[in-house]
Amino acid sequence: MISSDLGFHGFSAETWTNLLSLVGYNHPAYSRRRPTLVIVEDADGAAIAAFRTDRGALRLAHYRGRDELAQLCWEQGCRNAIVVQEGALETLAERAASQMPLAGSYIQQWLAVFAALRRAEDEGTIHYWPPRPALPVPRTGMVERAIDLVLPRGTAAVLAAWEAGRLWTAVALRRRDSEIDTIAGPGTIQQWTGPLSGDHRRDHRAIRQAVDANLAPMHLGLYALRHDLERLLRASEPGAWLQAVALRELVLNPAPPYAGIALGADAARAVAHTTRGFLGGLDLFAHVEPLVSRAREHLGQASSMTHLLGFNPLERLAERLQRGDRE
Amino acid sequence: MGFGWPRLLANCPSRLVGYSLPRMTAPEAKHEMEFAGGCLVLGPRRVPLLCGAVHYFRLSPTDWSAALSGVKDLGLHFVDIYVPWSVHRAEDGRLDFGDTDPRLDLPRFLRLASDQGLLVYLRPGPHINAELTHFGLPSSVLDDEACQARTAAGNPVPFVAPPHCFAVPSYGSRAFLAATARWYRSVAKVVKPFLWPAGPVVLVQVDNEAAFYFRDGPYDQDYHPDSIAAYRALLDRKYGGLAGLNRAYGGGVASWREVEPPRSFDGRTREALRRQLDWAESREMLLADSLAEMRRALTDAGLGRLKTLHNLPMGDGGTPASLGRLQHVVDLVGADFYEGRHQLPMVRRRALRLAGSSELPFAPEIGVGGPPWFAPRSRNDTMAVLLCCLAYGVRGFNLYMAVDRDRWYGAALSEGGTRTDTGYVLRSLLKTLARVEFHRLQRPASVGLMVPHEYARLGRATHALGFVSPCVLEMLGIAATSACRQDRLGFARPVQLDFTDWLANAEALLDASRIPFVYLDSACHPSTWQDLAVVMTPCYEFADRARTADLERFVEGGGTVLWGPFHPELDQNLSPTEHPRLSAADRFDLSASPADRDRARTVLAQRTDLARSWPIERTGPAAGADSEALPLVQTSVHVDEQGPRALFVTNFGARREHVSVHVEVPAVFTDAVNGEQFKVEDRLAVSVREHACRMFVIERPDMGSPVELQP
Repeated sequence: MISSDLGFHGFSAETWTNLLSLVGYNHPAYSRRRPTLVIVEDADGAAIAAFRTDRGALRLAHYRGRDELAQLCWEQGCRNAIVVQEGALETLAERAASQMPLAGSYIQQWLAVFAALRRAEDEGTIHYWPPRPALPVPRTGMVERAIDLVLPRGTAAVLAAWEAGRLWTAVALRRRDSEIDTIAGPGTIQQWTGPLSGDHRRDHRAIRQAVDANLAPMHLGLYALRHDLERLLRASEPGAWLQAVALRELVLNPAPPYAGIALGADAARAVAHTTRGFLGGLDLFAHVEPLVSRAREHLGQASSMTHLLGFNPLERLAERLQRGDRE
Repeated sequence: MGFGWPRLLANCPSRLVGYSLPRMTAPEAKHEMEFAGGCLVLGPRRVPLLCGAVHYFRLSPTDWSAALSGVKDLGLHFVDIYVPWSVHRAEDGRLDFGDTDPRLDLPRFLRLASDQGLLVYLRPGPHINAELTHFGLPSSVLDDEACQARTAAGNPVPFVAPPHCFAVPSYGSRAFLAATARWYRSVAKVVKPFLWPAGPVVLVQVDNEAAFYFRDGPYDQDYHPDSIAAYRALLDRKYGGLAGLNRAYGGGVASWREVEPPRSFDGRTREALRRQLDWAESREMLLADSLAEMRRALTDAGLGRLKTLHNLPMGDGGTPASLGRLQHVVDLVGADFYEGRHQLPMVRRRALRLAGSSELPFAPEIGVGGPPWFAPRSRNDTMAVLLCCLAYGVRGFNLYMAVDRDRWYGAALSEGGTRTDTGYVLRSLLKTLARVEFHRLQRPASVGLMVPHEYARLGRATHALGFVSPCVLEMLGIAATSACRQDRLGFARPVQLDFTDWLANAEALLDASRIPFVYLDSACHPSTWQDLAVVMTPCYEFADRARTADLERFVEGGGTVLWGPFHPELDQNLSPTEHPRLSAADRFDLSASPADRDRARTVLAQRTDLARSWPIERTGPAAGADSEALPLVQTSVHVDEQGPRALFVTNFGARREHVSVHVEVPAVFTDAVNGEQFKVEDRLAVSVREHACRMFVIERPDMGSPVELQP
C-alpha cells in the first residue's frame, strides 16, 4: 500500500495528531480505553500465562476455558480477550516467514502475515472474545483494485479540515504505480497554495489547483470544518453525508463518480428511513436498495469497494469510532 | 532534607569551565577525552551532553548551514548524525561521500559543523533505523543469505517495518560482521581528518538499539550457523568441555555437532531448565560480543580514540542486551525515550535505571515529535517525557529530531533551521539548564533497587508469547515479564514473576516513604552502587554467586541489604553452591507478605540517614481525597554544593492536580519553561496538568545574585 520510497513531510506534531484523531486515535483518551485480557493456554486448555494490557501479569487461579471469557472479562474490567495457544505465535511467525515475499510489495508482505494470522484463527490456536467479524483476507489484486477505485494510479487525493479560520489538519496522498508514494501535510500544502482565506468553501479551489500543479491530478478532495468532519465520520443516520454536501458543510472537489453514487445511495436510505415512520413501518429502502446496488455496479466503476473487499471499510470505521466514543 | 549534600557531591568539580566552544581549527593543548561530572571532558573543556539530531542526507545542502546554526542557537553543543550505509552506497556498489550527490558530502557537513562550534556524535550503524527503508542496511547485506538471521525452523527473520519488510541480519554472522568492518573502514577514511582535536568528531556510536530488531522473543532467533557456533562455544567455556556439559544436562552427546539449542520452551526438569537458561544467556552474549567486535572494527579503522556509545531501545528492561552487560563493551550506554506522556511511570522507571547504573545517565534519543508509524506524539508528550527523564536523573540527552526531515513530524526546527513552537519551548528549557549547570546537579538517592539479571534471564526464557516479546511488552508500558509462564519450575514460587512483584512492592514502599531511589542493573560493576546506604534486592533459591558476593562486600563496607524472600542455595546455573549469609533480620518477603511490607516500611522510616523528597499534598477541590493514591504526584529535588537548586513536580495521574509542596528553603521558584515565578517561604502552591512534569529553578537570597521577581 505504501511505496518503499515513501515521502512523508509537512506535518507538525499538532497537525499530525489532529489528523489521527479524526480516525479515532483520540490521544490521550485512547489510553483510557479498557484493557485487553491476554491468556496463553497449553494444549489441554489450561492457562499457563495471562496478563492485562494495562497492568501486566495476572494469576488466573480458576481459568475454566474459553466458554467463560465473557465472565472473565467482566470480572477483570477488560473490554476484550485474546486467547493464544502455546506455540501459536511461533507457528504464525514461521508461516509468515516462509510465505513472505521479501522482494514483493508491502501489500503482499502484509497479506502474508494476515493469511498466517487467519489460518491460526481458523485452526483455533488464536481466539478472540468477543468474536471478530470473519473479514475475508483479500488477495493482492483485490486490494489494488479497491485502491484503484478510490485513488487511481497517477492521481492525488486531499482531505482538509479547518477550525477557527485556519487549516486544522490536511493530508494529500499521491498514488504512483500501485502504491502511495507521497503523504504531504498542511505545511507542504500551504507552501504550494500560499496564504489561504480560512474558509473551506473558498480555499478548496486553491488547494485543488496547487495539488494538481505540484503533486498529481486530483481525483478526490474533501473539505470541511473540523467538527463537521468528525460528526460525519461517526454518522450512522441516513442522509447525513448528502445533507452536509447540500449545505456545503462538506465540499467535494473533485468528486469522482463513486462519490456521487455513494451520496445517491445515502439519499435513498434517508428517504426510506424518513418515510418508514409514517408508512406504518414499511421499509421503502428494502425495495430501493437493489436498484441502487445495480446502478452502483453499472455506473462509473465496474464494482464497488464493498464488493471487492467483501466489507465496507467506511462502515467499519464509523462503527469503530462510535464504539470508541462510547468507551 | 535529612542528608548532607556536600558529602553526596564530593566528587563534583567545585568550579566549571564555561562551555562555549571555539571553532576547532587548532589542535588542543591536551588531548584527553573522558566522561566526568555529567560532561564530556575535552582537555580543559567540559561539555554537557546536549545534542540535536540532523540528517544531512535528507536536507538540501543549501540548508545545512542554517540547520546547524539553528541547532547551536537552541543551546545544544553536539550535532548527532547518522551515516546511512544504504544511502551512501550507490547502485554499482561504490560508496558516494559527495563525489556524485552533494547531499552525501559528509566532509562538507563536518566542516560546517566545526564552523558552528558544534561537536559531532557520529552514528555509522550498521543498523540505524532512522525510518529509512530497511533501516539503512544495503541490499548487498540483506540479500546475502550468509548475513541473514534464522528462525528456529531455518527461515529468514522478516521484520514487519514500514514501508517495506526485510530479512534482518544476524548478529552472529561472520559475513555480516566482516561487511560491517569494511563499511566502518570506508567511513573512517572520510572522517579521520575531522577527528578531535583537529576536528569536531568526538563520539561514535556502535550499532543502534541492539535488540535483534525487536524480534527478540526467546525462540524467535537467532539460529544462524555462526550464532549456534557461538552458543556451543559458550557451553564449552562454561562447562569445561563436553563431559561437563553432559553432566550438567544429564545427556550423553558425543560431539559438539550434536549439541543443538532449544527451539521452544521445555524446562520441566532442573537439567532442562538449565539448557533454556544457557540459550537465553547465549543470546545476551551474542549481542554483547557482536557489539564488541564492531567496536574493535572501529578501532582498527582508526576511530579508536573516540568515545564509544550505544543506545538501548524502549523496552530495554526486556531485551537481552542490558545496560550493565553492554557497559563492559562501550564507554557509555544510554536509553532511548519515545513514550507518550500517559507512560510517565515507565519513563520514570527507565530514567531511574540509567541514573542507578550509568556513570553519565544519557538519553541518546529523546523523541521530539515522531515518525508517522509510531503512536502520535504531541508537543506535550515531548516535554513531559523530557522533563520526567531529567527529574529522575538523566543528565544528557539528544533531541531526536532537532531538524525536521522526511518521515518525521514535530521536530524542534524546520529544515531551514527556523524554530517551531516546540523549538521555542525547548530553547527556553535549554537556557535554564545552562543557567543552573544542570549537568552537575545531583538527585540525592541513597537507596538502590537491584534487578538481578539472572531472574530477568529466567523471565525471558519463560516468555510464552513468541514474537510479542518481553521488550515489546515493556514498550506497551507493562512489565517485561508479564507474559511469562506461571509454572513454579521446581521452585517454591514462579521466580520469573515473583521478583517483579517484589521490586514493584519495594518501589511502592519507597515512594510512600518519600525515599528517592535508583534502579541498579546487577550486571553493572559494583563500583556504580557502592556509595549507596541501602540496596534492596529479591533473592530466591538460585542467585548469581558474583552478585551475592558483591552484596556481602557492600554490607562489610557499612551498607545495608534488604533482601528476600529466600536464601539462595544454587548458583545462576542452578548448581549447588555456598552463598554468603546475609542478615536474617533484613530478610523480607515483599511479594507475598503484607506483614513484611509493614516491617520494611518501619525499617525504612527509622533510617534518618536516607534522603527524603519534599512532602506534597493536594489542594483545591480534591484536597484530602484519595490520599492513598499518592504518589500520583511526586517531587524530585536536585542539589549542588550549596543545596537545592531545582525542583521537579511530576503528575503521573490522569487529571490536573493542584498541590502544595513543603519546601525546605525560602526561595524564588521559577518555572524552567514558561518563566512563571513564585516567591515562597514554606509552601509552593502549583498546579500540574495531567501526565505532565514541571521543573522549577530554586534561587535563594543567600546565593549571591539578588533574585528579582519578574513582573
